Amino acid sequence: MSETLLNTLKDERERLGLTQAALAERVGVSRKTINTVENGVFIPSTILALKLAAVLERPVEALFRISDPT
Amino acid sequence: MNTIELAEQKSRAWAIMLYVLAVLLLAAELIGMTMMRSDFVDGFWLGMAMVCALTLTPWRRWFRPRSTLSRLLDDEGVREHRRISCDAGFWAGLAAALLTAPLAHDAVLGGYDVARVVATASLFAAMISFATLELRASR
Repeated sequence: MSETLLNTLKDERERLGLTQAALAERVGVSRKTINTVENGVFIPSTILALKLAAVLERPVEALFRISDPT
Repeated sequence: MNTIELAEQKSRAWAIMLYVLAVLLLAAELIGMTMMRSDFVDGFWLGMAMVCALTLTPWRRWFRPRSTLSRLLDDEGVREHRRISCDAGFWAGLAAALLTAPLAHDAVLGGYDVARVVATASLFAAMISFATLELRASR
């Protein structure tokens, strides 16, 4: 069984008209980190996920969901 | 230029510097082991190895823990890259140790040479991996 974490970060960010850099500034991380989270390369900590949810005004489970291809 | 852009720029420059330092370390090791064994080359290698090891630590946070820029340059994404890189360094070092052990056993290589090969392999793999992950993330 292989689980992956999918996210809607890019859609939600664009909904608010934010760039990766602007979102990064609001949550206090680098733009690289936002980029890697958006691309699914990096799974954020709970703290960062909660900060992203607060800035994007969405619940965490609306931003992230587990995909199980099996 | 705001802090995010400054962090981006510094991070990219840092990654390129890691490549340069890694290549210099490898060159010092190869030159020292093959062409020119001298105190200067040995000392240069040791100095480079210490600097390279320092680049894999969160030194920015140690020196300036309250700086916003330091925090951005050592956020959780960077810490994850450092962890992955140190993993790569560990496996490269282990492989180098296992490969050189028979040579040391047969006295083809001395203990000092083996230590240098293992340290160089570990640091080179970790730094190249770190720099690549950082540059890939900033695309």
